[in-house]
Amino acid sequence: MKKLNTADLKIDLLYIGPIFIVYTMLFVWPLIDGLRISLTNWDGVSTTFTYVGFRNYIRMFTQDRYFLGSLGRTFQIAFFNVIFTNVLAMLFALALTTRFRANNMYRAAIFLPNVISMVVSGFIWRFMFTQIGPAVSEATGIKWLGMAWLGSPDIVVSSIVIVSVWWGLGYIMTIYIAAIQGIDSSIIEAGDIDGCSQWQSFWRIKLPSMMPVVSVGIFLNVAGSLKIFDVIYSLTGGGPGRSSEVAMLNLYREAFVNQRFGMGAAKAIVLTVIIIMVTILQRKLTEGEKS
Amino acid sequence: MKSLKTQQTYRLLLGIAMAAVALLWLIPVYFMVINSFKPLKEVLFTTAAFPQSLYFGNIIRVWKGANYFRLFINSAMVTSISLFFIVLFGSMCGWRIARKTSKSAPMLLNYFILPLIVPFQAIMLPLVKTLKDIGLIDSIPGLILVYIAMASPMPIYLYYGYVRSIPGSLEESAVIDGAGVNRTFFTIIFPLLSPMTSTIIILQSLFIWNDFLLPLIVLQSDRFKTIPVGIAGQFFGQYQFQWNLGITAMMLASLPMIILYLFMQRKIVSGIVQGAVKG
Repeated sequence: MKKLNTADLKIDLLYIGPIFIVYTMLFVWPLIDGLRISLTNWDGVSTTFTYVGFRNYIRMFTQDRYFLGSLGRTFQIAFFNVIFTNVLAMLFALALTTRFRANNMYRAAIFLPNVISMVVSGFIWRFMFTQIGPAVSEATGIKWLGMAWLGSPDIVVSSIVIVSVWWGLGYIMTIYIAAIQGIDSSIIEAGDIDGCSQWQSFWRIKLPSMMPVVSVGIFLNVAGSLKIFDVIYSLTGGGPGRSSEVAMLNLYREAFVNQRFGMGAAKAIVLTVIIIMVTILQRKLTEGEKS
Repeated sequence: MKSLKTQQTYRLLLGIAMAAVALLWLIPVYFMVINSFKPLKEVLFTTAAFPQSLYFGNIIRVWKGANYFRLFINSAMVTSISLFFIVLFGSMCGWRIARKTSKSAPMLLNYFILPLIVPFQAIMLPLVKTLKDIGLIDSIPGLILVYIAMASPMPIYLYYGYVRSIPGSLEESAVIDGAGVNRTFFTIIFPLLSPMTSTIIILQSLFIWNDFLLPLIVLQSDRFKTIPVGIAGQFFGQYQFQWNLGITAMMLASLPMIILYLFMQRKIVSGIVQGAVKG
């Protein structure tokens, strides 16, 4: 009996041990260490630092209007991105599951941005907004194409949403298409025979049976939007001024530009708590609709 | 009969609308590609027009200036080595936990759940400190180890669920026949897991190849940089107002994945669906 246990333990060490060590060292430990760092004034370089209690947490909410502004902007971008992405993804998915020629090609085209990295997508759109837009506007006389997409604080958030939708819609659409194709076709046919309109068929039959997948889709989208960083880093760099600075960019700068690692770590923890709370709330809401 | 005809027109209109949407989606990629083949003057003055003649000067300059080949090798190395260990550790660990009968199994599984809830941002700054402390900051092995730590938990879950759906009798008879645990795992179990393995490879290779933030904070030396960081850094530094080079850099940065996507579109899409629905 005892021999069996040591043999078992050996297998555990071999099969679970390596990843357990790497994961503990490079994920769990930094997570715990982050809580400690957030209570200090460490600059990220020095060997010494002092504990300042909850000063970082208090300051970011009372004396740092840029951080609060960046949080609000993050929510704003996330809200519009999630709405536009999911509504359009659903419409496109419904359209592309209707049978007509070349719909696989259309799917492939709409999904394409997803294989381009977000930081590169931001640059491509910077080119679109600052060079192509004005050029096409001049050539065709369509004035609005040449507007200051990235140069005006009032428009820049909408421009970011456009890029986010362009980049992320294909992914969400793809899982919605799979969900529509997974619906038992006899239920839809039964609805058709009973004289359901397209509208009724969608709201009463398709959407309810897709709800688990829709919930996952929205979840991925919400979590991704609240963490938005790469696109803004390359598209606007947070500008003009700081009018497109989001929470992740704010804390990145706090740590690596202002060299206030302690404050950066505290902001990261606040952002993490917000992301976890929002996603739990969202899952509760969308999964509640299912029943 | 009339309703059939309206249905056909409806479908036709829908087809045209979706064709327009698909074209709209490709416009940025189109403009990026055509402008990569124009000299600066043409990029600035006839931005939206098709190139007058194919110009390869940008590609040559970016290739040399950004040391593109080096970046490509680094990206390929980081992605493939990380993936190898993510698949190896993920499958070994997922299988072992799934076949454990003791009470430690659910505890272990819960221990690995954190990265599915806690976003990377939470550990980003202290991670830099940890890597400095163990001397792995600004190194490719350090970056790979972080990817293994961060990206293995999801595969552990996926493999765990998959193994639970395979009956254990196969392994038991192999063990009775005298095959050791390792041989049983690598010759019998691992091949059975291949549908899950291909899903994991697709999902994680897209993520690691295109990831920006982690290499941005971990790597400082140019010689270690991956494509997204190397190209972005180069672009910000030197090509700020030279759009012909900037946009060519973007074209070269996205090209490998676009080519892969064109050849493996079906596999990539199905991998993503699998991952999203099961994950």
